[in-house]
Amino acid sequence: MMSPATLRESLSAMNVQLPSRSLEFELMCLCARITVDSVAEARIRALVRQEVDWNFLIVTAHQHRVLPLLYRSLERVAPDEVPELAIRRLRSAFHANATRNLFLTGELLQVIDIFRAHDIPCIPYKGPVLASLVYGDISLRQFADLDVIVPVKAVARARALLVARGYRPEKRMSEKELLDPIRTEKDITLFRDNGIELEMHWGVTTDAHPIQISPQLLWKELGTHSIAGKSVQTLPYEVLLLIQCIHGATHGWERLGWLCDVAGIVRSQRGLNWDRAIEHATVLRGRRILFHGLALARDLLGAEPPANVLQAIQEDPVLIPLSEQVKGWLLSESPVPPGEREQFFMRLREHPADKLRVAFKQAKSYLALTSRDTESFRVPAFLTWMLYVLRPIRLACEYGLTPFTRFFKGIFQS
Amino acid sequence: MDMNSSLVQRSTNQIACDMGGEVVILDLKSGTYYGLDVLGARVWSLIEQPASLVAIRDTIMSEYEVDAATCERDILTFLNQMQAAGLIEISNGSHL
Repeated sequence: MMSPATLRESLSAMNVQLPSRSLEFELMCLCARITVDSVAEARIRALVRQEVDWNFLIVTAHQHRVLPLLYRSLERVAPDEVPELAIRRLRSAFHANATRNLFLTGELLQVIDIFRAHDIPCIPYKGPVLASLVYGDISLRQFADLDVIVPVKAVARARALLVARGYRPEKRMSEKELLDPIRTEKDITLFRDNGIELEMHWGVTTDAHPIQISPQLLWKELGTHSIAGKSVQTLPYEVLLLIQCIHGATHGWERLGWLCDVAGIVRSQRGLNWDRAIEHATVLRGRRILFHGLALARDLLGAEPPANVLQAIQEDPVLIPLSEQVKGWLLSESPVPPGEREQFFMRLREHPADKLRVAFKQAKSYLALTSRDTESFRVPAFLTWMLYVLRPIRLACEYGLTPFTRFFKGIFQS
Repeated sequence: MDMNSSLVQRSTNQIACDMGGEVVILDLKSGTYYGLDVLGARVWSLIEQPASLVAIRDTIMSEYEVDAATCERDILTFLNQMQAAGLIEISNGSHL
């Protein structure tokens, strides 16, 4: 593993072709640390004196949801080295984000009050709570919506209360119709006219996810946290860490902001029971997913787990190439080649049965017909079955055989 | 308001965040945003925990070049405005 300060040097040493944006990427990673130590400060000062493409950096930091951290670090560490226009853009974006976060936090607290008044337990999750709990300041995290978890049996009542507050469900459903998504989904989305989007969860994963966290686990050993003098329930750090690692891995860690969450939780070590976190991950057969998130947070954001966890990370040889793969994606300006994420996720799973499960889902999605198949091949109704034969041929013509090769390699690689 | 016995604390109906020296406060009841400049933000930081008016005045005087009378008058004006907006509570120390 390597420190962010030496990321470019390490990639060079490994004969990895350096993308032209590695300067901005390194600067973004250093500034995205919740706590910037003196070594990182010195490196930031050295980097900002180079030919930084400030427009690219600001746009990329926004895409990675780390713009507030970028502004905060630059403003503290090198305010006179950053061009005036760039710092003004960053400041303006920071203020807009902070103001919106205040607004969303105020709304969240009112929703919690309503649920509380109707005896509906709820756990606010991600959004303002994660910002306050892990970043120590709600202005430092970029989030667009609110997330609350309620017990399965309270979903219909909670939805009715939100509707009474002026929320509009994304899909109109009767209470009876709601039973179907409750069985197969993990949340429903509601909107308010003032632009607020609220996801009401009863779970955090579904059967369609490559790994599942049972809703029961969410309601165990809850913590409390105070926001604006109000006490709210929070998921224990161990569960939060696991959820963030699963979420990031599921999306191939395409946003640095997710790793900042992991790094922030790692830094909150006083509240984190590492044995418990590993125990949860082991039960879910998701140790590698947990360790991979931790390895990336350490490599890119300098978040140091305790020595025994670090040793466990270093003992898994698969984690290094997987981490390098994610760094390559983060540094690249091109989209991830088809099939690479699926192969990545199969390698992240430890148990053969889990690999097969991922492979089965992927095969199912490869074989499922789309409108492009029916439009490309006009066949009479009695020959529809032929479309299933023609689809792999069409995909191979379009993308080549590499995605299929990656897919099969992913199954067999450990 | 008695300088010696009055204690100042933030109201629970607000939420605030630091904007790099300045502070923005959202009044949760009215939905109104308030902005504090650097000096206001400094006073705001001093009342994170209940603080006496004397302690606030003395800290500001130690950090800014200002005479006691002016400092006291400006702080009282500022705190009265904050109290009127419902962002802080001022009470006799024995009540807190």
